[in-house]
Amino acid sequence: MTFFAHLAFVHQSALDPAGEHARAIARLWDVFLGITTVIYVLVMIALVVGLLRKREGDASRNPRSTYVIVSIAGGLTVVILFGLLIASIFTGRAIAERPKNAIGITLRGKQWWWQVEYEAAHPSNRILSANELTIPVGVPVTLHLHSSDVIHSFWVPGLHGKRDLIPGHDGSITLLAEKPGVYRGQCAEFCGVQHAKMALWVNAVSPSDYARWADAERTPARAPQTEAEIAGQQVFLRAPCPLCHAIRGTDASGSTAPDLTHLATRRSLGAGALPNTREALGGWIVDAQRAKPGCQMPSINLRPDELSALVDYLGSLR
Amino acid sequence: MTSSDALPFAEADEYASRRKGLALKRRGPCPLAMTSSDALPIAEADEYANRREGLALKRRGPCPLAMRRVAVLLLVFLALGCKREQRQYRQPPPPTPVKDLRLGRLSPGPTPKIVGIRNPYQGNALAISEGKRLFGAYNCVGCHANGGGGMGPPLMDEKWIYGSEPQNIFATIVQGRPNGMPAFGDKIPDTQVWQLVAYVQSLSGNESALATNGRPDQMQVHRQDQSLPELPPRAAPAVHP
Repeated sequence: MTFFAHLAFVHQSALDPAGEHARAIARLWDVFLGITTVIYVLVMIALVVGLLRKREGDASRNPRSTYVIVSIAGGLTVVILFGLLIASIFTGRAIAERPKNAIGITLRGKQWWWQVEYEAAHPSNRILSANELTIPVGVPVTLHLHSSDVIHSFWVPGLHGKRDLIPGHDGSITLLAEKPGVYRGQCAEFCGVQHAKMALWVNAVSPSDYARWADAERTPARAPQTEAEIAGQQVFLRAPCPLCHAIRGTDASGSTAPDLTHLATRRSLGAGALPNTREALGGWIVDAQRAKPGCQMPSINLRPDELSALVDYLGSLR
Repeated sequence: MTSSDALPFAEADEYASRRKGLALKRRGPCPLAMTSSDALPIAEADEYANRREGLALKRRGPCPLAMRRVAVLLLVFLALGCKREQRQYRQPPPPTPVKDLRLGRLSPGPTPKIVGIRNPYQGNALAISEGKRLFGAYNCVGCHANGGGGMGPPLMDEKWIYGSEPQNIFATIVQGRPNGMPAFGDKIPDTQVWQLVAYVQSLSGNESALATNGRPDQMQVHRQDQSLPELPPRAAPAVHP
């Protein structure tokens, strides 16, 4: 329940734009809505007038006036549709601009989660994460979109329109958040059984907060401190976990599943399947197939004491 | 003929004989009013009457051969296809056969009876394709390539050094084998090991072609799985360099 309450604060609406591009799209939507509403009302008025008007005799009918009215209506339709087309082309041009000095992030769509990799000249400065982007307010961010399995679609309605992630094809999209906030996104192209649970969050923060976050994210995982955390790390390394997951600073370096180096800072588990709490994390490890049937996380068989230590350790990875 | 098709047989037959009587009468002066409540045109009703008669005759004789063949084929398809698409995401892990496995025939005391353990995922399309995905994800391809072998022995031929039965393959993955095969025992959950077993068996055509991949999603390094030749397994001695 708390999870849904928490979601209620998250922004996910194309009609309440928080970025330059989303505003251009929302403006186009307003233009379309306004014009089509006026036309709808006019057509309804014409219909009601036609229904109420008395039938006149054939003699009083003027074929010429009918011809003129139909021609004017047809001409207006062509002009209005052409105007809407032009408005849509200009919006398309406005949102397609690519600034040169943008922050580069590689976003890979997977069944069913998002792999996030902040690009950097030096490999040790790269940041690997999953299902969450943190971006500075007022700075353009270019996402390079890839897919390694099927077609996915990136859509954070508060910031921009949709862009498909197509296997074997490079795509990109530039975001510019204008006010701080959390903007939720969702895969917008059906991609398999768990398409619905493939969420993405964009945290827009001030540039100084962003720099602090990036520094923290680049550091290797926090070393286990308490006895339980040390035992938990041993469980992690002995169990099947490291074959798919990585925790920087340990021997675990699997790359087919989300990087867990700073797992405890994330909002959700399984790309929106569960909230990131201690209880949910335990449930997710032993029975992920219940929370997200068909996902690639297998259910792991652990003794209760092992599970408790493992959850302690993962919960400490801030 | 939708309205008359819905008639129960007895009624339809009665109707048919009545229509025949009518048709006979019609050789005389044509009756102007049809007494039947059914508003069928007369030509159609006659045709229907003839068809009903034909059907009734046929039903007395044995079922035609072609129809029986179709029925048998359908049943075979159903029986074979039943488990192909079964998706059970949450099932208890299948039994682990490692304890019961014997690599040699000699044993102290009474000879143990070796019970063959079936792979629970045999003939299941999803499990085989999951096995294929895991074969790449767990880097089996690093040594065995895509079945053709490299540092590790090929898996798409008929030679099986440590046994070809599902439980042998399971044990090989879980326990590891000399000369380079790591023991994946604690590292891969049992359900996934069984999926890998199903895929490894399919590499030499020892899985049902009905269940194997018809069109792999990845770049193809070998022929489509369904068209792999079936290679009956035979034991091969381990090569010790």
